[in-house]
Amino acid sequence: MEKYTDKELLSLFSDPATRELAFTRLMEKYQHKLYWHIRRMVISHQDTDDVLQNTFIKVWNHLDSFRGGSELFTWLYRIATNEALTFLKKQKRSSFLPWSGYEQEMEETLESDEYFSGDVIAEKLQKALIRLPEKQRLVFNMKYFDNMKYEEMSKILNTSVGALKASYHHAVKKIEESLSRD
Amino acid sequence: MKKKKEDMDRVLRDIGENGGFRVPDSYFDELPGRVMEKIRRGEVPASVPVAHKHRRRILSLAAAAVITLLFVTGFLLLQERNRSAREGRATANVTAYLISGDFNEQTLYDFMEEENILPEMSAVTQDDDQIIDYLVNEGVDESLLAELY
Repeated sequence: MEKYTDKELLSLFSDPATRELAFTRLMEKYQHKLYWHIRRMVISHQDTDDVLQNTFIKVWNHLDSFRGGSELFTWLYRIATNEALTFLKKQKRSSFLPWSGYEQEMEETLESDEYFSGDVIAEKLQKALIRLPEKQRLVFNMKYFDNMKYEEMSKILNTSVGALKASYHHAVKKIEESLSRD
Repeated sequence: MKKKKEDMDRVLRDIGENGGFRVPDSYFDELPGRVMEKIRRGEVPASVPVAHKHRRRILSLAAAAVITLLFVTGFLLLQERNRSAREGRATANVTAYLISGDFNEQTLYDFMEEENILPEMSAVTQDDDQIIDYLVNEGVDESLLAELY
């Protein structure tokens, strides 16, 4: 399969004759990264699939207005992050049983997801991550799993580098505590 | 502190880059096609269905209904028990009163009225003379009537 640069993809997308081809190539290029980014936030594969499809449909609808002020990947990442956070917000709102905490529901989702390895260590870490505030979880995932630089994260999350560093620091401390306690 | 850091590093090293998550076979091969199909059909990104949302709502409503039912049943049972206890108490009071033998018609009537346990009274009252007339007409022996009255 031919690899296209972002510039080439955008150029092909602007031509109605090659629009669908360009978008298919764009999805093939970024689907893995976006999938894992969303999956680490929403946990279940099914929910991730829904959120990712919505992300791509939104990208299709707004790609014409992408001016290239930032890198395409940063823009895609921002849309995926917003979609994942919106999903989590809705999920939190729908969880209205006072005796069943939201984190507990997420843990149950993790345990019942057939596409989770079920490995004890992985489960321990994921549960520790679930207990983190969303922002800290997001920063930890992007820094640790995606190897993203603070400057890049700052553009995606629209947050200062200092605040991101603090979030990451807090997240690491809480995960360490959680892992040594369990 | 150092120990905690080592624990975390070991866990992160062991679980690999996907954190224990897996993807169904050929998921990434099929996804672009599925998305393109939705786009061709003109599907607007609907709000993502929140997993188990409806199931949770139904369970919550069912739980609320069960709790309400339990409260209502409990309340009705309590009321029924109180009513039975009240009636039982009234009957016991009447029995004890009658056993004591210290009563006349008027006090018994007053007592029953006070306890709200008066039987329904017939609207028609008949005096002794009418009863005697009736019995004589029916051929009842006068000597027997004399014994009664």
